[in-house]
Amino acid sequence: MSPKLATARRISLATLVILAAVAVAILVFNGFTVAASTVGAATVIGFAWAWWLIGRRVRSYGYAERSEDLLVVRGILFRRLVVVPYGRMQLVDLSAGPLDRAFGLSTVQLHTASATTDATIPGLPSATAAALRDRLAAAGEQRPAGL
Amino acid sequence: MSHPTAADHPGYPSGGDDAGPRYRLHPLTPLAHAAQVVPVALAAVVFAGAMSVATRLLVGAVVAATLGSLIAVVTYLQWTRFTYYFDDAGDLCVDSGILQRNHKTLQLSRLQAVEVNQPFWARLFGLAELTAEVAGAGGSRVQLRYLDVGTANHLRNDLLGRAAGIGSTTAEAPETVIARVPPAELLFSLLIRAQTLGLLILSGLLLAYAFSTGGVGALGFAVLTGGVPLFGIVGEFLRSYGFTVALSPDGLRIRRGLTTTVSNTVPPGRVHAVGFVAGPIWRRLGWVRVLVDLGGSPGSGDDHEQGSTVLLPVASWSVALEVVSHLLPGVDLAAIGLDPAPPRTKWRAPLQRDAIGVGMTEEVLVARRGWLNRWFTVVPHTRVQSVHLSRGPWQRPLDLATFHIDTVPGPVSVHAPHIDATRAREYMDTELELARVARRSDDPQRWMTRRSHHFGGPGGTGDHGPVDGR
Repeated sequence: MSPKLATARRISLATLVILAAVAVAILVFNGFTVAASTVGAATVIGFAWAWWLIGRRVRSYGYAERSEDLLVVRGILFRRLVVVPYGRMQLVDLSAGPLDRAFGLSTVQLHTASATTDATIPGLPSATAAALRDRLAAAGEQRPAGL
Repeated sequence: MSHPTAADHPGYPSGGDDAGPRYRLHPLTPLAHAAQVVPVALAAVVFAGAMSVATRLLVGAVVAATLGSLIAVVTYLQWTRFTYYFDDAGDLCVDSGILQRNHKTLQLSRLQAVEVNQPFWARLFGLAELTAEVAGAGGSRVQLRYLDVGTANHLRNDLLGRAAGIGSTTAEAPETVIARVPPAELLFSLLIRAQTLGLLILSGLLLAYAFSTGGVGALGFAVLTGGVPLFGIVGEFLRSYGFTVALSPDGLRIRRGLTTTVSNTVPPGRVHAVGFVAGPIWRRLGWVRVLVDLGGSPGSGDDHEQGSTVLLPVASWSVALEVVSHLLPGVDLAAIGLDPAPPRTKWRAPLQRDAIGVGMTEEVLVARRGWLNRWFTVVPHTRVQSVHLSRGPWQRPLDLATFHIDTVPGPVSVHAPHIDATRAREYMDTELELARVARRSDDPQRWMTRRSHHFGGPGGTGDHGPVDGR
């Protein structure tokens, strides 16, 4: 995974912090200093912890293209390993939000007929993502399987 | 594949073109739709508040008349613009829509299930609705509301015949009844379910609250507006009344219902997973409920849609296994040995530990779990979509993992919780290999021309077989 994913996520975290800062400012303005300081302290601690957590979580994503299937891992506390056979892939989705685009990242998502298949690979550099999608689509076509 | 001529099909011809004759829905359709207004009008009469009886009846009549005529007009317009026909490839096509024309094509070779229902009001007019579902991402259904009963059955046989690859047919395939749930047994089983106790308590609390805040009037109001969860049992009873399962060359035919009758045909290739579930009281009696995951769209939350996933609302184990053996030919479920969870699982899930088990044969994978509700789930390797392992924070120090098989959406979830992590990894690799091999040799289309049924009845019981009810 690109380390830029961590940066992108941290930026969205920062927007939350800005909102919290605004809330604190409003509270101070209205004279609730105790509440303001609690909220402020909570925000700082929360921000630091989330910063570290994002880094760890991003490092926990991984994927492997094997001969017959794709393997995706993610998660720290709740670790998850998904294997999707190429023949079962119905749809390969490439998406990128505004922050992702700013960093040149994309998310690849695989869909099968099952609603519980959760094969999402976030934070890939766009070129890699496009190449991966093409390879997956080709692999899927070579192995047609009914429902 | 021959086009049915106007003489073959008892439907209502509506002109035609090069593609063949087209048909309309039954002319009484707008009336049947409008009749659904009656319960609303009744509700208006009852809840019209503090007015004399005559005024309330008048209000009710006015409501019925306005709503009814509005609905009748709209549905009439829809009726004039709705046609269905068979195109060159033999697929069913439907054209509909007043302002925005909608054309739907249903590929019959991928037909999932065909249902003929008679909703309450349609039944009064002698009409039925036909629903055909096709497999595929997102799924596709076609609903023909309403046809008369004869036409609906005729069309259903036709669709099933085309789907099975034996061409257009008008005769109903012969059937043999293999399981029946007598109404008395159904009622008794619903009453003694462990769930019922919970519903009873909840209903009692709600009624007590209503009484304490509003007196007897509020009590009546709560009963009328469905505030008593216990009455869910009544709904369940009405849905599954007279449940009959019959075997026919089309697949399994299921008929059920009292106020709304449903007739459902499930071709065996469409069953993606089977689940046997029983609560603590049912286990003592050796009863089980059989649910299936069907390929194809889950559809909207209609009443009959929910019922389509129930293969048997209640049955003894031997009957359940026999019925399922027709869906999974050649598989002897009772004789599959299950690998248990390791002893250290008791630190994470002490109550469930004895129930957990995983077993594999060449055709299927089975998984058992559950303390309160004991689930025994079966999935054929050909139907496995993807596989995943998950590991929560409490499982990691114990070196356990949960092994899931992903299949199409439905009530059956095939997974084995809290098993040894290394074994889970092995199961995953084996399963992927078996699924890959199975996919190569599977072709769910035109199944009837391709293979014949083998009947595999339940054999002797294994040590960890599913018949081990406790």
